[in-house]
Amino acid sequence: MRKLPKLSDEKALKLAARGDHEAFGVLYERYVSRIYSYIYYRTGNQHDAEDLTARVFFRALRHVENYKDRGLPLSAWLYRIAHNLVANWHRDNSRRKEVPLDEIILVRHGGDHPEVVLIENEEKENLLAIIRQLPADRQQLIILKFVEHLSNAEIGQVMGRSEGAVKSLYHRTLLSLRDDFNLILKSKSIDDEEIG
Amino acid sequence: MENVPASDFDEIEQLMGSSLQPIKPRPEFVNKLYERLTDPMSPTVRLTRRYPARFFLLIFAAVLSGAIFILSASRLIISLIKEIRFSRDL
Repeated sequence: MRKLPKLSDEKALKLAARGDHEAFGVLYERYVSRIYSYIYYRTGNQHDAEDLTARVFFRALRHVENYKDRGLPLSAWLYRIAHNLVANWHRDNSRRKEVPLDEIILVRHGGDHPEVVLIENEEKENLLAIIRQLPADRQQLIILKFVEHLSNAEIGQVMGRSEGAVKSLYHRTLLSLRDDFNLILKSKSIDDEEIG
Repeated sequence: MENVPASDFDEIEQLMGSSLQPIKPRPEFVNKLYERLTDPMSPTVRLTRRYPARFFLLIFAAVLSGAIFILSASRLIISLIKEIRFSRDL
C-alpha cells in the first residue's frame, strides 16, 4: 500500500477534479474501508460489497468535478452514492434470499466461558435478525450510528434529513428494536420453561 | 412520541455497539481497485478524465482555421468568377 500524503480532503478533491489520479487515490484510501463496511452491512456478502464499493468509487471519480455544488462533506456524498447503489441492488435482487450477516459479524471470545459466548452470540443473532427486518432507512441509521460512529448531524447529511428528524427516527427505531427484542426473549423463556 | 427514559435503551444500545463492528475489506481487493482507479490507461478512468484547456484551444484553432480557409476559398472563387465575367464583357 502506498504511503498516504497528508493532503486535506478539499485539496485532494480539487486536484482530483483536475484529473489527478493520485489525489483521487488518496481520497479512496481514506474512505474505502468505511464505504465497504457500510455496504457490507447493507448487502451482507463480500462479493456484492466489493462490487458495489468499486462502483461507488468509479461513480465518484466520474462526478468529482461536480462535487463542490452539492455542499456536502465528502464522506456524506460517498455514503449517499453507496446508499443509492445499495437501494438499486436491493430492488434488483428483491427475490433473492436474505443475507447471512450473522455468520461473519458474530465475534468469537477466546477467553470467555463457552456458555457465556453462546448466550452472547444468541443475543447478537436475535438483534441482527431484528435489524434485518427494519425498513431500509432505519437499517441505514443503525449502521451509520453504530458501525460508522457518525453523529446525528452527519447522519442527517447522509440521509438528507434534519438532525431533529434523525433523532426522532432513532428514538422510534430503538423503541421498535427493544420491543421486538423483548418479545423474542419472552418467547424463548416460555419455550425453555416448556422444555424444562 | 412515547416518552421512554434514555436508560431503558442502554441495554439495546450496548448490544448494538458490541455486535456491529466495522468490517475490513480484503487488502487484495483494496489494492486492485486502487490500481484501477489511479491508472490513467484504464478505460474507465480515461473516459472520466476532464479535457484539459489545451484540448479546447486545439479545437478552437481548428475551427478558426477551417473558417478562414472556407472564407478565403469562397472569396477566391467569387473573384475568379468576376474576373471571367469581366474578361467576357471585354
